[in-house]
Amino acid sequence: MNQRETEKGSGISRRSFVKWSVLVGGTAALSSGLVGCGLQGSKDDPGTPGGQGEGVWKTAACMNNCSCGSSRCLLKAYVVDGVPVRLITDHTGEDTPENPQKRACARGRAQISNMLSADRVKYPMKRKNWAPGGGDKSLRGKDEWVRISWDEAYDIIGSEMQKVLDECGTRGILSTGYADIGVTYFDQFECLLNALGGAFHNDWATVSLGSWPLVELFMTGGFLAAPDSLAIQESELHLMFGNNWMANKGGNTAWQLHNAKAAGGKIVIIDPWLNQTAQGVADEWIPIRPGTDTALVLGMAYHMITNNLHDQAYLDTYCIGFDADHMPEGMPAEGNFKDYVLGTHDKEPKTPEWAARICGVPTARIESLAAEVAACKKVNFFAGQSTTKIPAGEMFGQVFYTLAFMSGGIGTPGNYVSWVGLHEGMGGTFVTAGNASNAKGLNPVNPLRPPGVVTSPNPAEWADNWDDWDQMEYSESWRSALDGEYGRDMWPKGKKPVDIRMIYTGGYQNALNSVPNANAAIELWRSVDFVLGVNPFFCASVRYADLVLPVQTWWEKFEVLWSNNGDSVYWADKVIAPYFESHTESEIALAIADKLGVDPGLVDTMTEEERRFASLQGAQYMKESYGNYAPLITITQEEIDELGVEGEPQEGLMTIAEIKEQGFYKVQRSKGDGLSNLPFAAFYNDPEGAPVATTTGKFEIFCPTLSLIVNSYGFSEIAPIGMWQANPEQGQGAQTEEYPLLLWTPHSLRRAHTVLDSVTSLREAFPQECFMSMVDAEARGIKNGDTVLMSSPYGQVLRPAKVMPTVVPGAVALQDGAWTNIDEGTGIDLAGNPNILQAPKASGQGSQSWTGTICQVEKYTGSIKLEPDKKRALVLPKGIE
Amino acid sequence: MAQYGFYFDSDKCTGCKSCQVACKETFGLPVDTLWRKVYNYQGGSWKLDEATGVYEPDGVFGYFVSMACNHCEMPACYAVCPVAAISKDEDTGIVTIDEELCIGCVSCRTACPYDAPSLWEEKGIFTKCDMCAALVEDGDMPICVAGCNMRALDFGELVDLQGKYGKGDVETEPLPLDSTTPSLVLNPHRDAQKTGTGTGSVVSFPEEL
Repeated sequence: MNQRETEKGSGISRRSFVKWSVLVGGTAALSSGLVGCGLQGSKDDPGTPGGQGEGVWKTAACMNNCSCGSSRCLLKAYVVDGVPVRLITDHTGEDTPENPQKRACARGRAQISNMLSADRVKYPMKRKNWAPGGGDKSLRGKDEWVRISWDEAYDIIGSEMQKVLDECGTRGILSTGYADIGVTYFDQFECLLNALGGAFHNDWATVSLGSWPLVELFMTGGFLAAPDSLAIQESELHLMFGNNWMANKGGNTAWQLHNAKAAGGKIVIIDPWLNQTAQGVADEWIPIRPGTDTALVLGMAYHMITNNLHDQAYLDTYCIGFDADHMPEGMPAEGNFKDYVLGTHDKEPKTPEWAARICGVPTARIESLAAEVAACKKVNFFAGQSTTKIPAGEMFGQVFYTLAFMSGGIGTPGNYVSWVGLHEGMGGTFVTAGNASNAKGLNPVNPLRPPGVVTSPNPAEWADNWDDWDQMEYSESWRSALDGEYGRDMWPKGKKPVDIRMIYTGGYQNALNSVPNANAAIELWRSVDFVLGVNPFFCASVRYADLVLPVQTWWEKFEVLWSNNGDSVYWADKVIAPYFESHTESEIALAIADKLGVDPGLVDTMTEEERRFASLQGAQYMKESYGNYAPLITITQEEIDELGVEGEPQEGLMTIAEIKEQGFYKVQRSKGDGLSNLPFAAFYNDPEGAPVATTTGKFEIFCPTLSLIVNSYGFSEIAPIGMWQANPEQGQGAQTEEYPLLLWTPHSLRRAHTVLDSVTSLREAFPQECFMSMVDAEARGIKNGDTVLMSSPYGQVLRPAKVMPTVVPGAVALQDGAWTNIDEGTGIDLAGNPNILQAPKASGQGSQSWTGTICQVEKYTGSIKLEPDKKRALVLPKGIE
Repeated sequence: MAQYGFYFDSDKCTGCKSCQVACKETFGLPVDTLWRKVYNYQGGSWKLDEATGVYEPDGVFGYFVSMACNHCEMPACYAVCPVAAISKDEDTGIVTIDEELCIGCVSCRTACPYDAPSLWEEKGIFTKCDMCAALVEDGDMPICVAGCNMRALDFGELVDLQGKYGKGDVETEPLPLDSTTPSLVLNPHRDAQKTGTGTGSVVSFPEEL
């Protein structure tokens, strides 16, 4: 798309673009003279409804990955002369639990400051001391920068990539970008890599989902089964293992939990701290040591079994493997869950006393909680994704589902078991946008990706064509790449070789920062021949690159209908002109394809207009009954002709003009509307006629398929039933004199995972803190606000301590996503990225298992002085004006 | 004469600071200047069970209080301003600081029991919440209220808010005893402590407030 079209599409004149570039460029933060424009007290100001300003309202996408699309919110930007001056959210019209306003959280409200942040990359730039082949690679992350032209940038990329391809083929390239996960994070450079033969990825399993996917799939036959926000109002007790939805999902999620409470449900949150969601909505907080939920559940199970509180009839009818009388054929009877809990064979009864010593929940409370759960007729069992981010985390998933089955009733209203949480619209896709990233299905797939089962390779097939595929899991990948091999000796042909010569960090990913062992990542970044960074922001990953390209944000690059959660779709306007010299991912990928002689038709398989059309044409909403869909958008032949695309007119709920004007569509719900999905209802009503999709057709408390597959990866050794398994290197029991504390890493409202760390108003609202118990602080002479040094076997960070009575003793928390900022003199990370500390251990199905990393916290006595985060200078590329 | 006021439900608030950030971003407030801020007040202790090594919480609690200018019936700031820069609107009860007149002498901040006036360093003056008067005049809600994720904030005529929510209790830790008749209906958190009887403390860093 050329400049003129860009201007036309966004309604921004070249003159105004230059104007705001001057206004915002180079300042440390948005000046008070720009945003707000004296809104206070004057009716004549732009942005004041009814005011005299000449601006326009645009729908401003908030595509931040708050938690895999758990919540999506409306932002409308008031744009004056090309400059967004004010944001509002959805604050008019009905606002009920059925049809809530889609109110943005603090992160969304700060999007103008984010999009115009001083640390946006403005120009293509190369490292000052870069030379072909890398030059002095140790200077990565320290070097100054030189502004270069796009032509020079593409020449360098073309020749450096060609060299790698000639020497090692595409396996010499490590891409840390996402494969296609939809339009929000779509990067055509991945198509280019796939067209070339596929790059190495370190994306086996997921960062997000922990050890849950295979557990749910093989134990229940379902995937992502969860109740929606109206359905949970049926429950009388919400038993939640780890829940801070306000921070890690945002939007309306915590409010909908409050609504469930207002409807009569009691909310119990089991968590290492009285987190902010719990302070707002929980009736009770049960403090627990990080990563020990398995022991708590086993203690509860013991109490239920020995007091005959469990629902034996439900277990007999719907489950396999609870006791010796209900084992699958051919399996040893002594492998059942009940005998494990009672200690019949291992002589270790998993009593509440036993559990209390591990999880730190007092014996009496374990017993009373078990009784409370058993007595309640409608329980909503929920566990956060992070509860399984522990070594052999599948085992918690196993006991969690088992507890829900022991309680009985799963498949009836009010009785639920889920781990994906109350995504807004969870429980079903009530409305969705069309596929703007790959509607034609022409995007090349990565030929190196192994045959998969959910998000992990499928070991039943992986030995076939063993040498044809390559994929590392996340946690160990930096160290593996440095060592030249990955995997396990017990794999069919042993460990696999890896020889990385080039790293691509793009697609909004900030991988150096967001995978455990960031110090090893820096070592790897400094070891390869070429590092290409493509990001709108000067994030931690691109700071260690040789060459950085400025890329447009979703406020600049397209007009498209998009969705990411199940209850709403949003229009994305072009809110601002492309920032300085930034290009789209598509432009960048096509230019590099040209250098490498790759067919552009494989790299960018749809035009911008085709993507826009596909997003509208394929949009659907659920109509009248669960799973019944109809087109959302009316499209005329005239509109199709105007776009210049192929397609058929259609009738929908609203016109293109209407969705653009409103900016969004949200599903209209009412109680009893027939749109709620009740997971496992068919199975409950007819266990013989409508079996679940497991090996036995029943819920598998004893699940040998699960353990067989998981164990074949060699990362962990799990049993067919859930068990407590102490790990010698981390978690409860692994503390040492040197590292006596357990680390866990909750989400922060300051960031959405690893993006958004450079916005001053958010840095002010949410300092990056070392959360610690008053008990541990007192023992160390640490007071609230003191600077502390946090150390683990993997690194050190410096942070202010937030000393609170609301943290369980023996554990400390550091929130995820802070952008690493290493002090080169000491090697200490001054920003407090938890991935400097977290254990880089592959686990189970290839999931990450950082929770419970052993660590120490001491009062800092060194010479570095930490400014409050809100006043710490942003890291900007030295040498670039 | 009407008196506008805020309602705040501490029993719902999750400390998400959407109110604070939306306000700050809307008005382009610089670092250190906050027209709305959120306190986190926590208390309680832990008892060690020597036999098991388990710490048991003893009255541990925590809650949030979101606070802007309360546009008091008897504003302490108004009384102490040496240059008469502060006025209270006769029609709405909104208390404002005239930026042209303010000399930045800190008197208002010192006098305000709620620390509402906030220094705008670059301008050398004190500034504060005006209840989004321009929006309110057009029938809209203040930015913080309209954006609250938990629907814990409301706005309206004080008598109407009291009719809808009851009187509430502004004498809730960490707030001070009422000496200015704030135009605020505060529904205390279920674990709230009455002002003067508090056993906890504000854990928010000074830099957050």
